[in-house]
Amino acid sequence: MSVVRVAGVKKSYLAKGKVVTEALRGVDLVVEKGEFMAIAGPSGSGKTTLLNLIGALDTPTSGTVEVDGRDLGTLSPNEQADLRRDRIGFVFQAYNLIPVLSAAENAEYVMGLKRVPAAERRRRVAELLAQVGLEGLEEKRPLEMSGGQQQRVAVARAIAAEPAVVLADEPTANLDQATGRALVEMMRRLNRDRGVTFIFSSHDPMVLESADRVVRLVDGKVASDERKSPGEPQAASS
Amino acid sequence: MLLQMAWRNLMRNRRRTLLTLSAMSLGVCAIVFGHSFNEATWSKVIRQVTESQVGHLQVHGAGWQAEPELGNVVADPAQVEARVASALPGARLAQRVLGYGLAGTEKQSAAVVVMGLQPEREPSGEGPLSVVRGRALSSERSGEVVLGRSLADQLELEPGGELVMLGQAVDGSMANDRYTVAGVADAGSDELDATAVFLNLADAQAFFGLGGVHQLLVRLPTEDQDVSAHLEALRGALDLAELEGLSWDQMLPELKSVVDQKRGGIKGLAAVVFLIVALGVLNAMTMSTFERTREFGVMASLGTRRGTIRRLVVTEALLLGVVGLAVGVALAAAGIGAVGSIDMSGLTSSGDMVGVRIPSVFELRLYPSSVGQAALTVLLTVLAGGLWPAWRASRLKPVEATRSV
Ligand SMILES: Nc1ncnc2c1ncn2[C@@H]1O[C@H](COP(=O)(O)OP(=O)(O)O)[C@@H](O)[C@H]1O
Ligand SMILES: [Mg+2]
Repeated sequence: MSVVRVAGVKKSYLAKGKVVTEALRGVDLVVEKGEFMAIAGPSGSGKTTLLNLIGALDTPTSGTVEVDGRDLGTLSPNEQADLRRDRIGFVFQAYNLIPVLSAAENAEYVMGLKRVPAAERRRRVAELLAQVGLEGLEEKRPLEMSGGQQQRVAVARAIAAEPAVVLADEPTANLDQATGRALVEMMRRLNRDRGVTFIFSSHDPMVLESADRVVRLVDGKVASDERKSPGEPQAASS
Repeated sequence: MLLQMAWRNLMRNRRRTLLTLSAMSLGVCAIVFGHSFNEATWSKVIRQVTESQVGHLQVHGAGWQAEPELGNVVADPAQVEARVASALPGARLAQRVLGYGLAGTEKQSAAVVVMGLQPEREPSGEGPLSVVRGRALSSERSGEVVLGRSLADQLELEPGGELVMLGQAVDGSMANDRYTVAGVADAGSDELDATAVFLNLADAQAFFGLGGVHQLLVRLPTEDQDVSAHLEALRGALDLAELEGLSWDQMLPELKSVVDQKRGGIKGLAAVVFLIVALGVLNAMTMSTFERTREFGVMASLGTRRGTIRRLVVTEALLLGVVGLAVGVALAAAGIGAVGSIDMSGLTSSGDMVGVRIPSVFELRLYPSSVGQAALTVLLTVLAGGLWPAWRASRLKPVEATRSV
């Protein structure tokens, strides 16, 4: 079953009513449940724009985006908010934790919005934070953690409420090589063990290497869409 | 969770929060103090007026207040008293007669107000019973009078002196009689001091040849200044074709309007505080939400509804308000406790206002209505200062808020 369906999507940015940038010029894309997919492309090629459209953070100029079978164009602001809460997990490039909440509280946040009972939230978060290697840091505030640790909390938060898809826009861009690699390996593991669908963008070849499928954008168009054939070695997992 | 986040957000920039809080606390303190000061003054004035002068309510013959004719009386005061007593349990009643005459000695004479009253039923030590020289009125017929003190000065009379009064009786005949001055009283207002001759009710009735009384005063067992419910009960017990029932503010509309106006003055203070503090709150909340643009974007991306974000920011403003109110009221309470009672006799010439003596010493206390006034002002303040930033924060587009910088 497809989780994300992008059809004929164009996106222009306007300034003073005039089109200044055509960031996407007709993109079609179908992502199946359980995929571990990367969006590659040079800076300015439209990766962030595409992820924002899939995440219902922005609306296309033309074309349709469906998540879990629902056409985002038909949703009210509250319905979009609820869809993000229930079906989509986000990891941004940087600074995407809520600073006044501890690691555990950040990871719980979306479940809190969904009114998952507190005990259940706590149980799931403890398990998740352990799984992303953050045992003992539950009570730390974001500013007391390293960038890599913060991104792990962000990933834990994104998957805690069991979304249909996790969107991660250059999650490793602000991390050093080793930390970035570890983060992607962790995402890979969550994808394999829990079946979480990941769509992440990057222009780091080493990160792209770990994906099953790489969609390459150039100038707002899909230039290539490659799947690793079975048997090809996958990224090392610990 | 919302409350906790709101609190932590306030604690993020302690300096700014403290600054806003101090402005708010000072404002609250000023309002509570000013309001209490006002209430203390005016409630004392009103208490004085209702206790010693007019009572809370009065019963007259119909139309007497507008046109106080000597012959327009409550003809059977005992029967009316019985009805009033059952309609207003606990009320203290007293009858009075009120007329005019000429008082004179061999050397001097003056136009006077003649007031007959029941000394045993009037509050002791106040008004006509607040005797500065000599004795108070007797509760029996005695042929004695008590004079307002300026009148006594004018007539050059002291206790023990004699005075003749002339007037017109209710049947049109000439009334005259000779009285002994029992005492001189601080009558409660400059006007009464200069014009009042107080007699025992029965003496006054005899002087005017009257059967009934002009006024039946009702003093209520209440501190409440709004006596409209009591007035309704009173009027319900009266035969309104024959009698009228009035409250103190109907009998003294000028006093009522002065009090209302003075009370309104505190609203002016509240409005100034409101303006200053609301601007402070607006400034602080605008800065704090602006600094958190990205954070609101993240919250929105995670599926937080606009309403929830609005509620978070409004909660922050309300928390500021609650803390500011608590600190301000505590400050004011401490101040009021420290000041205790205020003696204004050195500051103002303790004159009269619309026929009522303004007390020069009164006890400050913390009135619930003062706290209410401050709470209302704070609520309006934080809403005025917080709603717009809250609305703005909730309308941020997540893409714009979260774009990498
Ligand atoms: N809000 C915006 N207003 C105007 N132009 C924008 C805006 N966001 C992105 N762009 C432009 O759209 C193009 C695609 O940007 P983006 O999707 O951020 O690419 P990528 O994430 O691949 O670097 C770029 O030329 C960028 O300058
Ligand atoms: Mg980008």
